[in-house]
Amino acid sequence: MNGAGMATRKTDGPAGAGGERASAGQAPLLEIDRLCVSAHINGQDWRALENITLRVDRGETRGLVGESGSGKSLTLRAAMGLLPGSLSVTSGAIRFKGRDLLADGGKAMAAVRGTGIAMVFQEPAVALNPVMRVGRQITDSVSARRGWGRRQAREFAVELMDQVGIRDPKRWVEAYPHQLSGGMRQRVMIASAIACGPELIFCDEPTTALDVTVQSQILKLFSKLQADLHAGFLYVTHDLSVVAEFCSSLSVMYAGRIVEQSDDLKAMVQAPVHPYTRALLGAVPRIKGPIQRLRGLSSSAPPLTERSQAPTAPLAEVSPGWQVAPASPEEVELFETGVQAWEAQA
Amino acid sequence: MGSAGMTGGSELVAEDISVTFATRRRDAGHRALAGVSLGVRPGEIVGLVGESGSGKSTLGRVIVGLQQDYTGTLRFGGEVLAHRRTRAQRRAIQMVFQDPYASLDPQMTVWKMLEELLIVHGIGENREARRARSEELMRLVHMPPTLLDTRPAGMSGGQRQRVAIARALSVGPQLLVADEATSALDVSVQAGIINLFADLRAEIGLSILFISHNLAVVRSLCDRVAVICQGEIVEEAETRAVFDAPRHDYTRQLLAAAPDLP
Repeated sequence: MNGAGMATRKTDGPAGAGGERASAGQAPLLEIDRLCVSAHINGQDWRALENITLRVDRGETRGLVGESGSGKSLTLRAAMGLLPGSLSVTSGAIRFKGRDLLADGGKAMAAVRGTGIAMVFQEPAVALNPVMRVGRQITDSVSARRGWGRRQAREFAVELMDQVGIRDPKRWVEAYPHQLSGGMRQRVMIASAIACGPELIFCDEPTTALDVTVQSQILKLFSKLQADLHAGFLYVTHDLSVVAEFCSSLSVMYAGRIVEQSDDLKAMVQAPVHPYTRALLGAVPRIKGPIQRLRGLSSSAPPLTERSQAPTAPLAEVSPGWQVAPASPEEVELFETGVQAWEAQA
Repeated sequence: MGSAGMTGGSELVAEDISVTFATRRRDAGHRALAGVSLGVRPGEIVGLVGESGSGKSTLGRVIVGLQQDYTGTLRFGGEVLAHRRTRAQRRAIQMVFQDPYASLDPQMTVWKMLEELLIVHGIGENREARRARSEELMRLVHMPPTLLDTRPAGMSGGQRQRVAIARALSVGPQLLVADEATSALDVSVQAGIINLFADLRAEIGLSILFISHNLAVVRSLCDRVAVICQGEIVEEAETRAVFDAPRHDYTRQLLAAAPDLP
């Protein structure tokens, strides 16, 4: 049934809730299937991620959006096998081209990291090594894999730097990160991410630390790379406007679960179904259109230890490729009234 | 003398403000502000937008009195603000910072923080009066007064920023300088703070200089907008005019770069 060529194992119950596209023959590029992650706090287990199900196909740009504590970065870290020690996957699967990355104790994950899946982080100043020349940082992983010498690696670094829009790359290839501007550093990080020709690129708030004009250049670069490489993107951010600019599909998270997702970002943004998505979109200030009083929420999400521990109901399909979580009457009340209910106590 | 001028609305007028920071090299130094003029009328919310290094925060610091090394003239309610200000002048212009985690003492209850300021400024003759004033401040920032006896450590980012605003309001300012006051907050929480600023203007006639890199936020709150680039204000007009028909190239460039929802 599932997975023609590539999937060699794991035939037990693939693609539960997200199985609507699985009949396409080829396994999806990335498939996160009912992923649950627990946090161990003071000897007790708390659900940090609850039944996360989403997929990214080749050439797809999916935005994963949420506010602090929603679990968006955690989802990305889990998918990358980079969970901190106090957190662990309790159930579910993460499949890359049909292959379960959580199997054989992380070996499968290590095999695709870099070559199959690459990651671009928020803070290039932190993620880059301050005492290593940028050219070497870009090609370190490729050289190690292909046994390249210094000359060959340097040539490739120049080529990649050119590809990510660094002008006069020969001049900068020997520079250290501190000599570059924030935008250039982010381009260097993107160059190192694409060095091994990944099929899937994870982005964790890659433009949040940048000025608007630089952000817009980086988003254009992502669009160009997406067209050139035909890679899939999973783009995590808190900024809905940024996602709307770059992505074609969208998943919205709140308090450790997905509340709404659609393959058609535009349709969902224009007519959101879940009360949280509506509240979130109502809080976004706009550059165009009528100026209205914004909607607000008292706080973004309850802390882990104050969340309901009841199992959540699966997402329901409102139209093909568009799923929404059921909302309890209390949640509807909370999100519809937003700050007003909270202000009323004052 | 000064206190009489501080009642009722006062207009801030900054004229030809320049600030130069010394650099290690023996050159003329770095010119952060190059002859900037800007006004904030009573009850007006003025946005100051620019990218990093544009000088927007430096102008805010000059206006509040934190950056005393500048040339040019500052007037508030007709009085010239000297480099050393009187207590009444300092009270009249207050500031809210970006990071509510860094600007509040995590060890102190909200009540202690507010009471300390009220005592220093001689507001409220006894504890009861100060307590009543503090409760009023909490209501003003839409916080339950019961939170007066809690510490910021247990609060959300939005609640902390409300406490920071209550603190700035405690001495009865007429002008608030908000420097990236919503930038560290989640979108939905940011919306609440923007609404709070709009309400404060409506309720107590507060004037606000709202400094931000975020064009959409500025558009949703401000009456007038000044665009600053490399230490100079390149465009200043009513908000609608700036967004609908920008005249300066740099403004157009900024607007074209700003992402928006479909």
